[in-house]
Amino acid sequence: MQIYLPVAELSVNIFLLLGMGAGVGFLSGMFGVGGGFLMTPMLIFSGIPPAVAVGTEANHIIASSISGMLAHWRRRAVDFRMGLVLFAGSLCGSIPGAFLFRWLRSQGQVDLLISLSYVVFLGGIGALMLTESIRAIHAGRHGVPERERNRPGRAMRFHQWPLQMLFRRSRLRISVIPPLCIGFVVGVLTVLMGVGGGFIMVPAMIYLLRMPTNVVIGTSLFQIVFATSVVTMLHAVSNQTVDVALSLLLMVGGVLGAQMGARAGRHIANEQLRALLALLVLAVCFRLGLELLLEPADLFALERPPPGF
Amino acid sequence: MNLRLPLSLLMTAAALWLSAPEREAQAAELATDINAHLVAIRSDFTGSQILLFGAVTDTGDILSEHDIVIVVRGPDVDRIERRKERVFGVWINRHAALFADIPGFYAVASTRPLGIIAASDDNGGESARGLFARNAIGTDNLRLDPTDARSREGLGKEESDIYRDALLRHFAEAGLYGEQPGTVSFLGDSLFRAEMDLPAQVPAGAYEIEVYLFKDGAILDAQSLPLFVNKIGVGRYLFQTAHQNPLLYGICAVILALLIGWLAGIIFDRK
Repeated sequence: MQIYLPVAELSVNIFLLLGMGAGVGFLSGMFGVGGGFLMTPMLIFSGIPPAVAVGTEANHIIASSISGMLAHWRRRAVDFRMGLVLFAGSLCGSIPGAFLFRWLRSQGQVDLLISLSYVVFLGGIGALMLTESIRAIHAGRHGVPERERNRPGRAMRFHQWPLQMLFRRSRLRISVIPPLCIGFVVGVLTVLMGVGGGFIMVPAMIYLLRMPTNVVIGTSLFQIVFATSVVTMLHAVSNQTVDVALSLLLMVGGVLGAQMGARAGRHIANEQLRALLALLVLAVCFRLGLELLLEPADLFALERPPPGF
Repeated sequence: MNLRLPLSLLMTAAALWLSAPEREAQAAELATDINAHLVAIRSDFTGSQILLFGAVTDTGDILSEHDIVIVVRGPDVDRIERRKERVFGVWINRHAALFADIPGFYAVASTRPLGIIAASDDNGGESARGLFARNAIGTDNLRLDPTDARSREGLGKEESDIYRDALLRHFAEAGLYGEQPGTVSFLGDSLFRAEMDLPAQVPAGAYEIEVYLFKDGAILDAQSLPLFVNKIGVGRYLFQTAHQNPLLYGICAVILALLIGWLAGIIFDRK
C-alpha cells in the first residue's frame, strides 16, 4: 500500500516505512541507542531526499527520546543544569548549521555533505564499537575483569578553566566551557545529520566530564529532546524539509519496535550482538561510501529549486 | 498558464475562418469533453487516468481518414538538472542548469505519429508542420531553454542539448512527458476516444487540454478544455502549511512528536 508523503512529494510503501521504524526501533530498544544514525541512511536508501531524511529524522527522535527522558526524570537521574549548558552549546552549533545546510542545499551540495558526514561518523563509531566488543568477547572468554576506566569526579585539566559552575546532581564543580563545546559539536551533528548525538555525548560525559554514570543517559536524553525540537523548527522554517506524515509512520513503527527490542535485550548477552550492530553500522557506512565512489548510473539528477535558490 | 496558447488557438480559428469558403466540403467541427475536469491528489494517490471523448460533426467523409491530436499541458514549473562529475575520486554535483517555466506535465495523444501527420501535408491550408512548431506540439517543439543555474546566463547549444536530453529523459521516466501515437481511437463514423495517464508525481494546478482535428495534414478545427489537478485532504493542508506557515508547521511537528512519544511511554509503562 502506497502513501503519498506531502512534503517529500513522493509515494512510498507504507509497510516499508513502518518496518524500518520498527527495525531501527528494535535495535535502539535492544542497545539503548537513539537510532538516528541508522534511520537517516535507511531513509536515504529508500529514496527519500537526504535533506528531507535529516529534517524528518530530527522530528522522529523527539518522540523516541521523550518517554525515556521522563522516566529518568522521575528517577531523579537528570542533571538539569548540565543539560541546559549542553543545550546552550548545541544551539551555538545548530543555528549556524541550519544556515550552512540551507546554503549548501541551494548549491546542490547538501547530499554530499550528509553522505560524507555519515561515512566519517559511521566508520569511526563502527570501528570503535567493533574493537570494543571484540575485546569484551575476548576478555569474557579469558575471565579478565573489565578495567575500570571511569572514575566519576576525577578532575581533568580543562575542568579548571574559567566560568566555574556547580553541577549538584553530577557532584561536579567544573568550567562550563567543556560541556558547551560538547554541546556545540552535538548541535552541529544534529542539524547536519539528523541524529540525537547520544553516541558522542554519552562517552564524552563519562570520559571527559567525569559525570557519574547514573545521570549520564537521562541528561543526554534531556538535551536531545530540546535540541531535536529546535532543529525540527530550524529545518521546518529554513528548509521546509520536515515531513510530518513520514515521521508519524516512523514513530508508530519505532514505538512498537523499541518495546520489543528492550524486552529482547534483557534476555541476551550482548557482546556478540554489539559486534553485530557494529558490523551493521560499518555496512551502512560502506554502502554510503560506495555510492560516492562508484560512477552513478545516471550522471544527471532532477530537482525542484530549493528555498533560497 | 501562458497566454500564448489561447492566442494561437484564436489565430488558428481565424485561419480556418479565412480559408472556409474553399473548404465548404470539409466544415468538420469538433465536440469534445473529458470524464472529469477535476483530478484529486489524496494521500493514497498513485496516479489517475483521464478519458477524453468527442465527436466530429459534418465530416462529409469517413472519420478514420482524419487525424486527431490531443495535447495535455500541466502548470508551469521550475526545475534544476544537476550533473555529477568526479572530483578527487568522489562523484559530486558540479554544474547545474535551470529550466524556468516549463510545463510540469506534457502529453500528446494522436491517431498517428506527429511526424506522419505533418508529412501528409498536401495542400495550401494551415499546415500541420507549421502549427506543431508554433503551438509547441510534440516534445521536439517544446521550448526548453536552460540557463546556467549559478549565473542565470544562457548555455551554449551543445551544453543546452545535453541538459535538455536529461530533462526529457527524467520527465519521460516519471511519466510526465510523452507522446503516445495511436492512442486516439475512432468509434463508428463520428466518435473518438483517448485515455491518458496522469502519473503519481503530476504537479497540481491548472491544466489545458487542446484537441486538434486534421485531414491530410491540414487543420480543420481545434478546441480547448480545462482540467484541474488539486491536492486535497490532509496532504494538501500539510503541504500548504509547511510552505506558507513554516513556523506553525514546525511547532505542530514538535508538539505532535512530544505527545506521541509521551503517550507511548505511558501505554507501555503500564503494561
